[in-house]
Amino acid sequence: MLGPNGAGKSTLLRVISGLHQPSAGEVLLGGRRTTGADPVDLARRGLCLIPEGRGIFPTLTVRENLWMMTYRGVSRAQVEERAVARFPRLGARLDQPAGTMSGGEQQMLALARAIVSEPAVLLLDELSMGLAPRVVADLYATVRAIADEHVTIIVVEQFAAAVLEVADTAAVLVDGRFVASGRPADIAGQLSGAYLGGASAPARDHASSGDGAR
Amino acid sequence: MTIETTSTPTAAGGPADQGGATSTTTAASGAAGVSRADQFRAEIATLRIRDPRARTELVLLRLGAALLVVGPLVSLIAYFVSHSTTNPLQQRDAIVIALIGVAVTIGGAAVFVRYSMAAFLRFWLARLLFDRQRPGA
Repeated sequence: MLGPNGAGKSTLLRVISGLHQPSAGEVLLGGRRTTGADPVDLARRGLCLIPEGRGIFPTLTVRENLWMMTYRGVSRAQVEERAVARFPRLGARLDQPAGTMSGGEQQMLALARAIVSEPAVLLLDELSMGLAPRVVADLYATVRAIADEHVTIIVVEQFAAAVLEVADTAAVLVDGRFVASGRPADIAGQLSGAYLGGASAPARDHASSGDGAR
Repeated sequence: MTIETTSTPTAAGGPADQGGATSTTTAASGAAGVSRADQFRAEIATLRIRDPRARTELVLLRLGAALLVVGPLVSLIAYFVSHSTTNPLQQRDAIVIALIGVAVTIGGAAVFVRYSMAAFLRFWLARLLFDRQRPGA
């Protein structure tokens, strides 16, 4: 999901994860209406939100941050093993306070914490925030690999280039409404118009059809 | 807003879903992922969703507060009843009523604390987590 500042992207993720109630519309997960469901219940069943700002505990070590995810009946050793298998760089930093790592490594830790809980749906908010383009590209390659393991991933991004390369479907959100959705290649061509407030013709048709979720 | 978790393979870059931000995973071979999606669907199907309009917590909070007031009142009335008579039968009745009042007070206090403190503790915990997440905290 792409869109300019204030478009409602992060709000939409919070609505999906049950943290906010929608003013209108429904959230369907796996074909079941989950509007109004307790976020804790959704998280326990495999819906995982990585919020903007990563949501890690900077004063705790990497290992302690990972231990936070042992609630699904997975042992601490298993959690560490899974995280390090996906992100070997974290293996060398297990006893380091998370806040002293680079931004990219902190984002790796946030992703590692998410995947060790074996989520079915993963919601990522502004993965690229404050990171160098190379790091962002590496992280999105990992995100693609996770998606290839049958995890449904919704990524909210302001900066489109990296995420459009790995996405299956893209949508543009402006002022709380979808103004365009489709294949990433098609969306890439409409982005400048959508961001500047003048979405292209097909996008306007889509928005006026009333399908846009708010 | 619909989120599909796929259990059957789909082609990468497939046709867009016009209903919004539907995300369909690109399927690779492997039974583990398929079963996770099915498991998720099954778990979501059993999810109990409370009606947001029911406001049960608020009703129970008010009930607890009401019982906290009613309980001592009942006990107090029973106290005066027992003092206003020399009939032992009436005094025993008053003792029973007073004890019921005490029980109602304790029950009301428990309900009130449960539904008022839960919100407070949730806020306190969230604040604690936020403070821990701030760099340099």
